[in-house]
Amino acid sequence: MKLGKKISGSKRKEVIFEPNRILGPTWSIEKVGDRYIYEYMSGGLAGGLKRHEITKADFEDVRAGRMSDYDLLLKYHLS
Amino acid sequence: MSPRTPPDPAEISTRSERSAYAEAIPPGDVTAPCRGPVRVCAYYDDPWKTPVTMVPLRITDQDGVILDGGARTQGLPSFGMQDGQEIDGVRPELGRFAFNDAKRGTVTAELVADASAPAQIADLEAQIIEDLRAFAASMETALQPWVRDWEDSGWWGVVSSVWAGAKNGAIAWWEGEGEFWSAVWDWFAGLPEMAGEAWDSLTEGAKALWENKEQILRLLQDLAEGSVVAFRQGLEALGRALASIPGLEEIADLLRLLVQQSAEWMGALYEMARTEVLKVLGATLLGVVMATTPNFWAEMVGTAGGYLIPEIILAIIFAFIAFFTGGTGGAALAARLSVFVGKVATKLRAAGPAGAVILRMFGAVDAVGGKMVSLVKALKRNIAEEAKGSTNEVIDIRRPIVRKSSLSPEKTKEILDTPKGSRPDPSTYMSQAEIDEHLAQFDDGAVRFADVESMEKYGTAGPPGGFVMPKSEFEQMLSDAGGNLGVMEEKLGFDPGHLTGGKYQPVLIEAEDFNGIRIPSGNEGGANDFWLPGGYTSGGMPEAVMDFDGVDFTPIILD
Repeated sequence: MKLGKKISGSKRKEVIFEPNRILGPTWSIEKVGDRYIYEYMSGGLAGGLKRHEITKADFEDVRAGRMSDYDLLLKYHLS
Repeated sequence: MSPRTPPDPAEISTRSERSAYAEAIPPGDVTAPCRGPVRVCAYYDDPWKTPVTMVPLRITDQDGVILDGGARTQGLPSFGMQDGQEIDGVRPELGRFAFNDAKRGTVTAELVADASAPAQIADLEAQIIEDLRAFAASMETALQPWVRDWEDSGWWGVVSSVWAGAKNGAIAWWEGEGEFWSAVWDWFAGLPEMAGEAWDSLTEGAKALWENKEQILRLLQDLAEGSVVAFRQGLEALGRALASIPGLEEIADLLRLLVQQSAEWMGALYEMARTEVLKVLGATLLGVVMATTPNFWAEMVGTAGGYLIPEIILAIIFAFIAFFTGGTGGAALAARLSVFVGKVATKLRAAGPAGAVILRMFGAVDAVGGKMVSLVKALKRNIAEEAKGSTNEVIDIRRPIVRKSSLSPEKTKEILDTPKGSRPDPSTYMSQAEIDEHLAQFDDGAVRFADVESMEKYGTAGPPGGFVMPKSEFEQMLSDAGGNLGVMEEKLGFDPGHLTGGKYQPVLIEAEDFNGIRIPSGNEGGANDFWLPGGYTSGGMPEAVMDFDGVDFTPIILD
């Protein structure tokens, strides 16, 4: 088994809040026109980058700390 | 002219060797380089690489089958030895085979099963389970005197529900295992108090065994749950714990022989774990121990000269292992184990009515002995594996051991019916030994398939609670696929092109970089509708999760 060069994994844990975007360590929510797109790195064995539309209320709840990105996964039955 | 100095013996030898090899190459120098040796090493994928012994082989090179039957992987009988002897000298040769005349290049090595074995296994398995079911039903009557005395305590209620299941078939009985084990541990701990003054009269050896009661009971539980690796580790640990205790020399020596000087019976046990017999036998025997109420055992403390549950359980386990040693040609060790069992049985005969009841249990074990030995032999004839390699290397034939979750269907359903986000922690339904055994599969590292786009965007190979597979499983999958990424995609259930097109990049996470590796609870963000509790996928692949923040990873380069 041939290996490439070892890569240091990001240690970032903080969430960055911008007017139209919330950027988490492995996820983001972005306002695109009138839509709010939740993008997350799936934890499945083949963890791809997935996207799902959420509501403005969800966006505001995450911004206000009333909801976490994990809550979004549960609410929309995502994996 | 100086006299000629005669060459020394070493030089003569060297010249002779060259000459001999030269003679071996036929005119034209064609045939010899085209032929080469095939070396095979067959082993179980356990922590000790237990050899797969005495199994018929088939070797196929590019021209077709060159060896079929007549050759077997080497076992102790190949060297005129058996379990329980000093085998260190031959251990490196076990499970191996060498054949010196294959066409150089790709070679397939197979362990070949006997076509008649599966039917014989199914028949024997059904017979043994039926025997045990009948035994369990008969014991209910035998235990009635003690049960009546104990009924008012409320304790019997826990076991009686389990016991009622026994009458409908021993497998059904086992489904109540969660409550059952909990009850075992509860009352087991309170026995000294119940025995009262009789406890003080115990021998030092009996007290020492009692001090190790958790380990001894765990052995039976591991056996019943089919956790064979944990069972072997338990034997090792118990052997170390008892090694220097006066009066327990015989037990310590038997444990030493079983763990350090044996190579055959563990393989047989791995094969037995593929059947339901381990579960049913373990549940039946421990169920009887449990159904014998605490007042019964308190009576035994006073009348049986210190022969307590730990020693009786050990005797049961030794009787059980004797089937495997006997079934794999280890007659001498089987006899030694039987001697120990016989001594315990002799003392039980002098222990009044309570001893007689326990003797029935030994009788039940003995009664299925012949069928168990036949089952072990049939299981050994049912081993089939295949590996590809070349004449230039040792071809490893890896025999997977059963590593399925031991959870009952009811418990599995209960967990799956619990909404994601509220599912219980695995430590509430798996023993620590099971958890340790499972996570040990990741000791060589873990692999995950990271999406290249997300890896570049977020700088990590996964989110918190990201799923991983053992590195060894990945390597085996790669080997089985012959390096064909398309085959890998199919095995992993990926869409075509995910690996071949470079969308996903397998990455290695070294064990030293793990962050919170654990058994998945099903609450992880990545747990989908196909997730199962117990640490295995529906396809039987072991899985774990870890938190990927700050975790270093190394891309695996697929050609």
